[in-house]
Amino acid sequence: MAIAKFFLSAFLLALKVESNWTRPFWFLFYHAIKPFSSVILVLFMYKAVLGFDFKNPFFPFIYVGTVFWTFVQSSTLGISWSILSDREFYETLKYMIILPYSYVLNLFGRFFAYFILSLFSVTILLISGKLLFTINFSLKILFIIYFISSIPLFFSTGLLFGSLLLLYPRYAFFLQEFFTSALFLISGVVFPVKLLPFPLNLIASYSPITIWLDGIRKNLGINFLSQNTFDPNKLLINFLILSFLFFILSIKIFNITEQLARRKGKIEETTGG
Amino acid sequence: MIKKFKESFSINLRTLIARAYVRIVATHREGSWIFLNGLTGIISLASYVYLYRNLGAKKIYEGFVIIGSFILAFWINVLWSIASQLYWEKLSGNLRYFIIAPCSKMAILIGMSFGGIYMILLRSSFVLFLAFFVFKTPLKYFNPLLIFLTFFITLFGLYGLGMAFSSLYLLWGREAWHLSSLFQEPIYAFSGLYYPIRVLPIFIVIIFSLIPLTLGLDAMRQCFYGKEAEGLLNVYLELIILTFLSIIFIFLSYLSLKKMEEVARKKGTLIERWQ
Repeated sequence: MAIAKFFLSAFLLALKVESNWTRPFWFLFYHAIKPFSSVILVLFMYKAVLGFDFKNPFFPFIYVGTVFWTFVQSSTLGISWSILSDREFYETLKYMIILPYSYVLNLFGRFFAYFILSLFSVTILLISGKLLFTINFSLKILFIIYFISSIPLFFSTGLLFGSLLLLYPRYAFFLQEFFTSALFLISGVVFPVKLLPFPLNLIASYSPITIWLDGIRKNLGINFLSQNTFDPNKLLINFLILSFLFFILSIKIFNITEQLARRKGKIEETTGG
Repeated sequence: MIKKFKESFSINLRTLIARAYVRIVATHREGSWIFLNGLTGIISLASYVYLYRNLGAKKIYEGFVIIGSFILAFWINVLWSIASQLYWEKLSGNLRYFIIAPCSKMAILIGMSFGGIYMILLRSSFVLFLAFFVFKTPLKYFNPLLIFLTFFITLFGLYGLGMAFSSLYLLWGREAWHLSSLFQEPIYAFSGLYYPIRVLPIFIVIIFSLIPLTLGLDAMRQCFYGKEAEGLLNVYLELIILTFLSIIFIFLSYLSLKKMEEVARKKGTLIERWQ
């Protein structure tokens, strides 16, 4: 019960910080509008080459990839920003660490807030895709499994990237941009990973996010997939195995970096002006 | 009168150099970061280059992505290191010293802009040359003089806008983070960052042309690719509009800085944090 209460307070804290204590209507409006920009950018790039030919099978591929990328981006950057703001901005990281419950649980609560906000944005974008671009989504039951099992995957991705910030100063936030950009490149978000040169295409095919995006596409009725390493019928099992391994690895790495940060006195070190 | 002008000029020049110096030194403090930043730039734009390849776009569209990413770095610098800077300075406790210093606040911001331009120019040039080399994107038309002129007028406009925003950001306080995010992504989408601006409906083009990024990018693309860039207006006309916009922004920033200082002194908000 106490753990649930702790989780809930972390969840609410992230919502308050992210919303900047503004009124819920404006906050939700902001989250409904903001993700459109990344979709619009890709949409106009598409229009510049193929015009308004939204019947092309490649269009739903790009659309779904860009829409679902919102989850990855907001979770990874959300966790990193939580760690950074705890240490540098609010200067509360040391208090968070000495709490009776794990800092990882605290971060999970905050990650979940970002996840729910992304869910809101993604739902609006999917409805817009259906209404504005007449994309035919056919929701299959496996979609739910992919969706639920993505929660530990995104959390572990965010945790892995965030762990670096425990050891580096504020300016290292650009490392997050580096990793997020690299992940965007190798996850088959806007183009099939088969196009990448070797060995990037191989790495990309084994990335749990690439497989997850393909699973999501397949179970939304889009048959244009990004990778061809795994049999489309065995995607789920491969996804579950790879994301489980990734989850274990990221928890281990986070614990190691947290211990290192404690030993090196990085927990309350701020970068300064 | 001349003596007073000389003294004021000397103080402001030294302020400008001092503020630029900090960023110039910071650029070289960690050499590996220049490389890593460059690599981040290449990786970010690579996804969009591959998107165009998969769509079967003309090769010069890949050049649009490279030029867009080059200019984009300056826009990000304007938002996070010029427009938001006075707010960051307030958080770190330096703003009060900026206000009581016997120099113009414009000199501080211009100095920061010069330092920022140097910092980004070094990193972005690395991305620009490496990207053209890696993706083997052809250059159809090349007029170095016009490229430099377009580039510097675009920067003049972008940093002028950043300076005009800086006092507004200071007044809006804690919203700075959200404002920069809001000015970042929607502007990527509607400024023709990676595609010819003609693709957009005309009313959107007119609205977003008020941001120097839109016309600056269009002019830069025309400098590299001539008529194939599918430009909006003649380059020289775009440069005249950009110069006009820049002068307005600089004038607005002068007025808003004066107003901000007055309001902040009256409300006593110069030394508060977290607000």
